[in-house]
Amino acid sequence: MNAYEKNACQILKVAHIAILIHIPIFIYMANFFGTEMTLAIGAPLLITVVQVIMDKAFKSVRISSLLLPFNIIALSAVMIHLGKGMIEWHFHIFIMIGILSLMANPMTIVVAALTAAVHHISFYFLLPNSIFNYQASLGIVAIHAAFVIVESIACTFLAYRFKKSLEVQDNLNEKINPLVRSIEDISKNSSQSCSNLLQSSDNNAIALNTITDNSNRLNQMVDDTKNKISELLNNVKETNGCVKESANSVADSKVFLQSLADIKEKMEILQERSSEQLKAVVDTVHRISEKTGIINDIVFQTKLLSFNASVEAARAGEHGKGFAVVAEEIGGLATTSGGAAVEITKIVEESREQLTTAVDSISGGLVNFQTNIDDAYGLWDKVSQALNSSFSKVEGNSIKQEENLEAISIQADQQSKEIMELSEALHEIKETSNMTLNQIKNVEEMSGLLKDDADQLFILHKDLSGTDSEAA
Amino acid sequence: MKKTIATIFLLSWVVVASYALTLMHSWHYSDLSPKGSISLSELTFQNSEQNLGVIHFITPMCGCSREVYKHLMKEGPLDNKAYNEKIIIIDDFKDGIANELTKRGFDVFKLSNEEAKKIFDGEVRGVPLLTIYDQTLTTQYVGGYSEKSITPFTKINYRKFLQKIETKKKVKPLPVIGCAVSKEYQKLLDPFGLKYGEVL
Repeated sequence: MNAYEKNACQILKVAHIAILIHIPIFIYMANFFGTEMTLAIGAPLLITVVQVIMDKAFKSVRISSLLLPFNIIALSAVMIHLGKGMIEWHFHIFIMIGILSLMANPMTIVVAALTAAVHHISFYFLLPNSIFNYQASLGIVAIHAAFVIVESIACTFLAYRFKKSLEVQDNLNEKINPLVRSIEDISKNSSQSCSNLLQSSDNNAIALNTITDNSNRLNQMVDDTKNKISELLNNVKETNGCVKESANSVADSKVFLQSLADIKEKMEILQERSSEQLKAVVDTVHRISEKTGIINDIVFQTKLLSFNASVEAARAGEHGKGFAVVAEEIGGLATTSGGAAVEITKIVEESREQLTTAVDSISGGLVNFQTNIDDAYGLWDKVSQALNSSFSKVEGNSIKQEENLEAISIQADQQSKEIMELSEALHEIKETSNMTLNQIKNVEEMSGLLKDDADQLFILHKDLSGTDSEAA
Repeated sequence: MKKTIATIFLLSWVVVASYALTLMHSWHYSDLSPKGSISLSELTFQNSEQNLGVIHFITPMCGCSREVYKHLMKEGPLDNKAYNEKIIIIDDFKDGIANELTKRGFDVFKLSNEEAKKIFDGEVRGVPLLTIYDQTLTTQYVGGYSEKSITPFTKINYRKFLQKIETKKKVKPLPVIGCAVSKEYQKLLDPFGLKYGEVL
């Protein structure tokens, strides 16, 4: 539906209401002038019904806009009748013709003027003296006709211009509508983009802050790492020194092993010697034991001699008593010597046993000691070899570690430097981001202004279209 | 088909509405003045001092006549020493009006259409009609009360006519715009009996 048709439809709707609004006025007029009340109520209703039926039946704005002026002038005629034909009610015709210009159809005015003219002329033919309800001269008739003609021409021109204006409005509307939609879309998209950009910018700012914080922490960590590496390097150096010292100690252990080998050899010699000496002692003790047997034999001989002497002394009687005593004493000495010899034998035996045990023990201990020394020597040798190998590796690793740590330290310095540069870059990004944010805010503000313009343009478009556009 | 019916209906509406409106307009614009002089042979003056006779022809069913009636009731009768004033009510004998006018001091007569036609030779075609005549029963004025259809706004002043006639001046007759009394005019103006009832 174009602007002309929309306008015509709106005017038709208003016209229906306007016709019905005449009813109370007509009722008052009928009452005041003593004219027909049924006509006052029925005529506007009938006119409205006919207009609505025709609108619905033809569904043509053109036909409706041609029927409306006829009905409107008919309404004016009813009003004039109800006002007992007073010339003043004819102003209603003039007003209606003027209002009908709003239909933007010159033919509407022509139909209205023709309807009025036909009414007057037709009852002129019916009653020749009564175009007017008084004796009007030709001049008066001409004046009245001139007013109607002039107004009709003016209104026809006005309706024509209004129609052209509506056509222009249509064209303008057709051009503005996509423009409005486009601007509105752009504005919405721009606004949405600005919102997104602002959100992203906020997120970026937060991320930048986080990155900056992380960078600072990383810087701090790199510094700490550097310090730790430096400390570690020192430790490695110290360890390296210790390893070297340990390697030296391991090298010294060879001397110790050599000493241990010497000790072992000496111990073997000592063992042999001790064994020999102990054997000599055992032999001595054995000889003592053998000598003790001799003593025992002597003691036995002595006792036997004493006994014999006693027996001789008993035979010698009195004279032999002294000898008997000597023989007894000698027997006693022999017994005592025998006892001592037994004890000596016992002691020697015990000593020999103890000595044997001691020799065996010492000999076993020495053997064990030697074995232990051998084991210890072997073990130490292995340990020494392992230590040598380990220390060699440790030394090698330590050197490599030191080199690596120095490289790491250099890299940490580089990293620290780069982190500093990164931090500066982040700071610059932050400043740039702030500038971008301001720019986005400006764009958003401009987007808002654009939206306002679009709204105003939309209102203008709505005003131009004359209805609630679908774009709403 | 539907369009054809609608078109026929539309054209019928235009024709019927135009005709009906034309008829209605004619009710207010038709000059129902007598074509000739009104015979006043049966009228008599009450006394010789009376200079002029005045007859008001009205019918209560007519709005214009009711306005004249209201005026008469308001102004009252003329001086009967100088004027022989009568009111003739035609074809509508609402006693209320006749009685009120009588009470107000008017000399009231009631005539049917046929009686009026017979008495006045069919010259009384419409009301309200004013007739002024002199002692010789010569009509000095036959016409209406106003240039236009009489409404509550109309200022009726027929006394000025009397003054003019008394000073020997001519009074231009005004059109008789109101209701037709003669059947011919009623039929002409209201063929469907919308205003005057069944006249066909």
